[in-house]
Formats: sequence, C-alpha cells, structure tokens
Amino acid sequence: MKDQAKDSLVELKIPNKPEFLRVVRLFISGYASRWQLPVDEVEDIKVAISEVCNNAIKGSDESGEISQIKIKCWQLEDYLVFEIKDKSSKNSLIEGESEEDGLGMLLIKTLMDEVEVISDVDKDKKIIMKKKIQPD
Amino acid sequence: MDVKMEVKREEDYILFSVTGEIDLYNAKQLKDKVNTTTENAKTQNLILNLLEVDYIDSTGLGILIGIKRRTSENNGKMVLVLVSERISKLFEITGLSNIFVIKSSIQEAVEELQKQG
Repeated sequence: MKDQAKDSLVELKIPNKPEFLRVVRLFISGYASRWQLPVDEVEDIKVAISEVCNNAIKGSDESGEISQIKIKCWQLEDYLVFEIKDKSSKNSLIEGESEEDGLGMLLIKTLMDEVEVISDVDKDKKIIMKKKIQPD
Repeated sequence: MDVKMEVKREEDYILFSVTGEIDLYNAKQLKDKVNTTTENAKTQNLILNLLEVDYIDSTGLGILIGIKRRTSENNGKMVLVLVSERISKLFEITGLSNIFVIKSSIQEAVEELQKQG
C-alpha cells in the first residue's frame, strides 16, 4: 500500500447484523469529515456503503452465520477509496435477486465514481469503491 | 435505532408521520404499522409524512413500494410528503419520483387526495 494510503487508512469491523448499519454510517460521516467534503458527497458515500453492507447482511441471513463485515477507507491521490469485505455472503456484495437489491445496486453505481467487484468462489467477497475528492 | 411513527386518522385519509432513519434494521416496523393500522380501516387513503426522515435505504424504498401496491389493491391512494434534497435525490436516482405522488407539505398532500377523489 502506498504511503499516502497508509497514512490515511482507517478500518472498521462490524458483525453482519442490521443493527450495526447505523454505526457504519456514523463512521463514514466521521471519516469523510476529515476531508471536508460537501455534505451531499458525504451522504452519497454513506448511502453507497450502507447499501453494500445491506447486501452482505441479507446474503448471510439465510445461513444464520454471524461473521464480520470489514470496511477499510483510505485516500489515494484524488480519491477516497472504500473497500468492503465479507466472508459469509452467498451473493456478490453488489448483486442480488429482489427489487430492493436492484434499487440498492442502482444507488451504489450512481453515487460512487468507481465501483469494482472482486468475488472469488468460496473466498471473501470484496467491493472497492472510489469517490473523487473535489479540488479546492 | 427505532423509527418513530405517529398516526392520525381523519375521515378521508390516514396520516403516518415518520421520524428518524428507515433502513434494513427497522423498515419492517413501518410496514407492519401501516398494515395493522389500515386493516379494516374505513379509508385506505394514506399520507406518509417523511419530513422528519433523515435517512432511507433501498429496504425502506422497497417498503414504500410495497405499501403503495397494497394501498392500490385496496382501492386507496397514497401521497408522500418530503422536502429533503437528500431523500428526494434517492427517489430521483431510482426512478421512484415517477411512481409516487410527492408533495412538500401535508396540506398539499391532503389537497392532492381531495383532487384525486
């Protein structure tokens, strides 16, 4: 990891339970405030990350398995980068089956500047999203 | 965090005023509250006041869609009240602003229901 990224890296781990979604949103608000992003940009990030966590929680719900969702945030050049990892989800962190999942996907892809899904069979599901930090 | 709801029953509509955040954790509370309140109610017309809602996710949006469907099936009409630019943005992105009737005040929502008959 580049030095700039290491200097700005912050991590959060939560149980994959819906009652912790608000913790994620508060964490993201706090982290994004470090860069004094406009309020609407912070809200975009909160919504997108919360939606990814939604998918992770819903995907693991049927198995009943409690594991952790891991969220990493760092700055890389002109972007804030967010990596969300989850082990237990049977779905990709961005794909789903229901109408709600479709809305969630649309929000994620619209609100973030870049979205990359990395999903290996029987391994961690991971999504990396970027939001451009507007220049002064 | 629980979502808070107040219910006001009028002759021609039921007003649900929602406060707080609507997400995967608590969206079902909203759905259950609306369903139990409207079951066997004299009127199936609904006004959902979202003026005090700070956050809503796809689960919450899905719940609203479900409420709208159920209302229509029961020959009722539904109007949302919201002014938050953040919440409105989510409705725009998802296309739901074309599906729901949205007004910026309860009074306008009442007038809209009256206009629809």
